[in-house]
Amino acid sequence: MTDPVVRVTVDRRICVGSGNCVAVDPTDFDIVDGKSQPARPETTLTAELTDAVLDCPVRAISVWSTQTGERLRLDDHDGDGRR
Amino acid sequence: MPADGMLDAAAVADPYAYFGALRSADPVHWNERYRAWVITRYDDVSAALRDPRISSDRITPLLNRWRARADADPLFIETLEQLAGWMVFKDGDDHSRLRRLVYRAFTPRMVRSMQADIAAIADRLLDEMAAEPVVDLIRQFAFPLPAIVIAGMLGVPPEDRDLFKAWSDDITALVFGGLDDAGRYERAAQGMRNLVQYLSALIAQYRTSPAENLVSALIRAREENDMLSEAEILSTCILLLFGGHETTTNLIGNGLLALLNHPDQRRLLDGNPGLVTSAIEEFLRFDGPAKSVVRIAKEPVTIRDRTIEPGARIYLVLAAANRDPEAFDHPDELDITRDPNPHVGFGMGPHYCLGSALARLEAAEAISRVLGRYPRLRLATTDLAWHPVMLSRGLVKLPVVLDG
Repeated sequence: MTDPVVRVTVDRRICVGSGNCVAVDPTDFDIVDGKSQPARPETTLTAELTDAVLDCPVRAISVWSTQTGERLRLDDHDGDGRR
Repeated sequence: MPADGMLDAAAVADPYAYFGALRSADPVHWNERYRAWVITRYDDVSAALRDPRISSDRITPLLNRWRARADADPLFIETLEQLAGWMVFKDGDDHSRLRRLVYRAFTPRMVRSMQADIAAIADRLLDEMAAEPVVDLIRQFAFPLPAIVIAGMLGVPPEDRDLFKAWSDDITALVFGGLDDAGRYERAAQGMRNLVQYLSALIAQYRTSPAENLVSALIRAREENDMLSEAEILSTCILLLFGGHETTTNLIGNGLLALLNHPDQRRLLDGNPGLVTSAIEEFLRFDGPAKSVVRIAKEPVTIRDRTIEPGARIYLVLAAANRDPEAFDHPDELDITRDPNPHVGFGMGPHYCLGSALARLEAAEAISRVLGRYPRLRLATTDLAWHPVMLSRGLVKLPVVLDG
């Protein structure tokens, strides 16, 4: 079973530029003007990308299904509270 | 134009009034008394925190100046040399390498697994203070809680924690008091020496017998072929101990004070305990523990119409940025439902607080539990004193009546 193809978004209002995402998944994120942005229009939902989403200290990253267009919840707490 | 007395009594008691006036009058201000630039607007602070021309290494210039002096105390030099190993004072790849090796222990997911332990520590502290009519919530709750948590995380045995805490208090006085204030350094230097000795022994112990703790995780940390040296493990332990201590104490203290001073917001939280998460963010914005951070320009930097020379010291006043009306609606109002809340209470950029998830959790547990246990908690006095330091914002005491 291959990893699903997803679209990644980073909310740059919320992003604080900690660089966690680039550290854990350098293929999917670039730092531009000190904040993160997706490196490519579509990508596969690898373990690294999942880690990047869930380990962002401010939950600025979302992944979206390219099939349904819906936001994917990657664990029980994803999307909780402030993000 | 406000005077340059950033540490005068009025500015210490109410930094928001002082720096708010500066933000309006002179947002990129040269403070002649302290010989530093003072930046107070949100946009400028946010950009500066992400500007690679602005360095976090405020130790090397200091170390070089003191090494060149005939009257330099070797103990002070030794302290600065230890501080020089802390990632908080590094830039670029030197910084990000250390951070990558350490951050996994502090992710939101990892920290969440500590929730029950943190709750238990809070409960035990609350049990111990039940009998007294007036309690100093700093000394008996907000101060010990983060100290016990980080000591536990590191792997310090319970019987050693009081000693451990005393040494770190001594270092706190130095680092938050101002690194160039040589008057504070003797106790700090001795505290540092004691900590180094103690932690070296602890590291050696866990090298031989690994356990489920942070010291073992640091020993084990690998990034391809890269790992932490003995000195780096030691520096990192001390930084984590130090970084998670006074700051978290002040987040808990300042946050509780904000609620005690805003009964409407307190009632809102009482009625909807799930709001604690966004309340913590608002405490970080409204009266966060990090008043300002220090940087050094490495190259000429022009902010608005002022040019900052290389080597110049810069205070980025997070407290002022967090009350900037250009960034926040009703900035001087406490609103625990505020969303979005892009505060800079944990900084921004590559040095964004590594412990943010842990601090958030500790503060949420601490504040929920103390208010849950003592719903009639109230201030015992309105005469509150703040530590007269530039970098941190914290109460000397928070006297409360538990059952008011």
